[in-house]
Amino acid sequence: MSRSVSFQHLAPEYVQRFEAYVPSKPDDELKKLFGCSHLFRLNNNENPLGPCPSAVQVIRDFVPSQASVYPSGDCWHLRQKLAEQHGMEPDQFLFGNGANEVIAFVIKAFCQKGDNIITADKTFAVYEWVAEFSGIEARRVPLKDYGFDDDEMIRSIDDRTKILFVCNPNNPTGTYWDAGTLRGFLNRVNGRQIVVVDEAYCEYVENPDFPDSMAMITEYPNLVVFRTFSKMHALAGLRIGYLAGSREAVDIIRRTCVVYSVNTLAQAAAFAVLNDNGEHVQHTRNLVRRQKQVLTEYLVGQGLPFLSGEGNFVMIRLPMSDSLAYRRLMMQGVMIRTMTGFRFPNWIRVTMALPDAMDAFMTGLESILT
Amino acid sequence: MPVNKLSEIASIPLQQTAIRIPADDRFLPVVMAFVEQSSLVLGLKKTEALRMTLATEELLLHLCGGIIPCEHQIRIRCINKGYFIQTDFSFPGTGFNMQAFNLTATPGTQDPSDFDDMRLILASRSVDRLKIRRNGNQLRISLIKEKKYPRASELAKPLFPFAGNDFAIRCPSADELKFMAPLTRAFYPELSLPVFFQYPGMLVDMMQSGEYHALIAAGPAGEIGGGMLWHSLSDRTIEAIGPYVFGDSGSDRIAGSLIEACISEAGRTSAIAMICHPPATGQYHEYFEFLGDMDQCSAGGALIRQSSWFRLMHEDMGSVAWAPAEFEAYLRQTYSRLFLPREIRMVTDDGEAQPAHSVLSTQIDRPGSRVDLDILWPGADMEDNLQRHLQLFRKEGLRNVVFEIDVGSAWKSAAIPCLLRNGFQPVQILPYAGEGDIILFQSFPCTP
Repeated sequence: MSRSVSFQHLAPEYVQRFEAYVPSKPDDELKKLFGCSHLFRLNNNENPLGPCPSAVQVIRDFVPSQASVYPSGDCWHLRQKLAEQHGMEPDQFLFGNGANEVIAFVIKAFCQKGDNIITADKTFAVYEWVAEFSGIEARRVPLKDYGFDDDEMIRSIDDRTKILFVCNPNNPTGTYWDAGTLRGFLNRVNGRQIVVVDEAYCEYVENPDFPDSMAMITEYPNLVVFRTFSKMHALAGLRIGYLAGSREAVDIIRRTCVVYSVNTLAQAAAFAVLNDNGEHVQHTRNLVRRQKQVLTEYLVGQGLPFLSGEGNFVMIRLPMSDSLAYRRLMMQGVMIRTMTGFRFPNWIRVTMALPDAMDAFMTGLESILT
Repeated sequence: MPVNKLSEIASIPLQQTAIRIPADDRFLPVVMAFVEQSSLVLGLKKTEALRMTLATEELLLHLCGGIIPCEHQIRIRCINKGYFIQTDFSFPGTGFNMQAFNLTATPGTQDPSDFDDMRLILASRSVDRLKIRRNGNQLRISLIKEKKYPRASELAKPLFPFAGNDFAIRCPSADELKFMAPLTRAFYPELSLPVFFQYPGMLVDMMQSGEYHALIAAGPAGEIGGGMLWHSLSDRTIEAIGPYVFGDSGSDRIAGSLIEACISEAGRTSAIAMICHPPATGQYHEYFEFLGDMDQCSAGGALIRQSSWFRLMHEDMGSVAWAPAEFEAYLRQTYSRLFLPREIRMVTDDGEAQPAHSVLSTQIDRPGSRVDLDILWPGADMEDNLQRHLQLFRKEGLRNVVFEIDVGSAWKSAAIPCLLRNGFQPVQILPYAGEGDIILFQSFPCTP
């Protein structure tokens, strides 16, 4: 019966109609809510092995007094290191507080009212969200055979199209464009729009036909590549990601980039990742490959349709509402991602994890299916 | 199966007129002229516009008859909602006796049984729906009069019904919607269908208003194999209507595709839950969870059983549900059956003071012979007030009385024992439909 106050009239119309994303509650709250004593998080595609040993050491060695000093505002050392590794210039990289932040940098840099971006209908939602709450039209092209439809994306371009977002590999279907497809797409765009290739899961792809997009930037100055330290490199809790592009593109994006948004510890841990010898990546790939095999064999036995592509996740089609499956699995201490929000009703996405978590998931799934 | 954008069909711009007057009955002629002319310009026929004007007269006489202080302003707004005209009366809900906003209020008479002096109920008789709502500090009374549409003639099942698996899910054109309405009636019992399927023009206007959305399964030659509609019941709840499938060939696949497309369209909206009343047995149990059945009487006296199903559109973050002791077992059992994580907190009467008079919010749907009640304000006279309302509804011949309690609100849940004592029974839970879950209580028997 309290007096309510509304500020709706102050918000732009495109903000008024936008619904805020509500993230999951913390684990302790979820356990209390669902009455479970443990919680296996198979919902966010995190790496269950944690960061590589050198990054772990950096985190352990963090000196508390450093917390009172501002971090490098533009991730200086990280950009130097990436430039050295990819044969590019430091000014071709921009860091953000997770790759989500760099999505906003790019849209703000290139789009104004009346412009549009193009992406797929069933992909990572943040491209669409950032566009829409910025008042920019997001054109969604239906997936074709669960993959981005290059022909239809090209057909959807008009003179107000500024950016095309391609999630490669696609979250959540795991499909990807090989080097030839990406090159063909870039040729057809012919530099008229910015092409963003989000490679959040690229470290999981072992097929040699996966594009070396960093190398393509020289040839295609309109190509912008997103990478993150949250998935394979297991620094999700520190929030750090970056984009790479031609100097001409990055010079414009830098104007909308928030500096000082990446903290000192995140920068130090990411620097350790960049210096890592690659063993940790290989261990993770081995784990994911093994667990995918175990899970998909189980799913075949259960007669459940699934999609197991690239990335550390598998999508499963259930004969019930995905949100019901979520609740029933949560009551057994297993947290998965529902796919209704990705426009895949009744599908769930499961992160590959350590055997005890995968066993708990399969046991839980079996119990809700019978 | 590409899905077109829903907004493509919404083409009627919002049209409205508004005036602001002091709460003084000397302005009655001004307001009546304003409402009548606005109703006509916005699309009502002469007869309907006059009925809206009559309702306005009763309502304004009620409001200005010593209830709202003269220094208060009343804002009157007529809105074209496509298939109906809504006239809203909004004013600050402070500085006077709220009791006057009970439908049963009889200012000016000492005889509580004198229903003829109840101007709110008199107003409700002239329109299709009357709603009393509170939004923060503002009270709003809405009069709703639907436009008149010709009833469609019966349509026999098509000679060449939809056959085959080659179809696309897309938004229908206006002509396709008009064709779909009688097609639906040809394949489904009339009593199981919403009334708007009898009026194709109304169906088109509902879509064009942007309030309703539709998808059809269309074959390569434009054949219609099925259709599904949906609209927002509130910011957090969508109601899906259908799917309706026209023919046996590939019916499961068509129904599944329509449901999936509908859910996908709503998947990134603000809706937390989708409620569905599917027309027949089918595969919707794959997509929805059973909530329960509700028996209702049509205005003609026929018994209609409506099954309700739901699905959450997002991962459940849990919520609090308030329960008086006598209702705790029902809530626990229901939440357990539906696997809904809820923290149940007990509502207790610890002797704290409460206002003398309660106020009930009423929504009357005369064509559906239904009243929906909610609590606007708690009060010590809740039981008497409720009984008086029930007496009035019986006199008005309204067959279905549903009381909604938002158990996310402790003071609303506190009214549950009163409902139970007066013949109401819980029949359905609507997850996240209010501040928390809404429990629908139905008054039995539903025949007058």
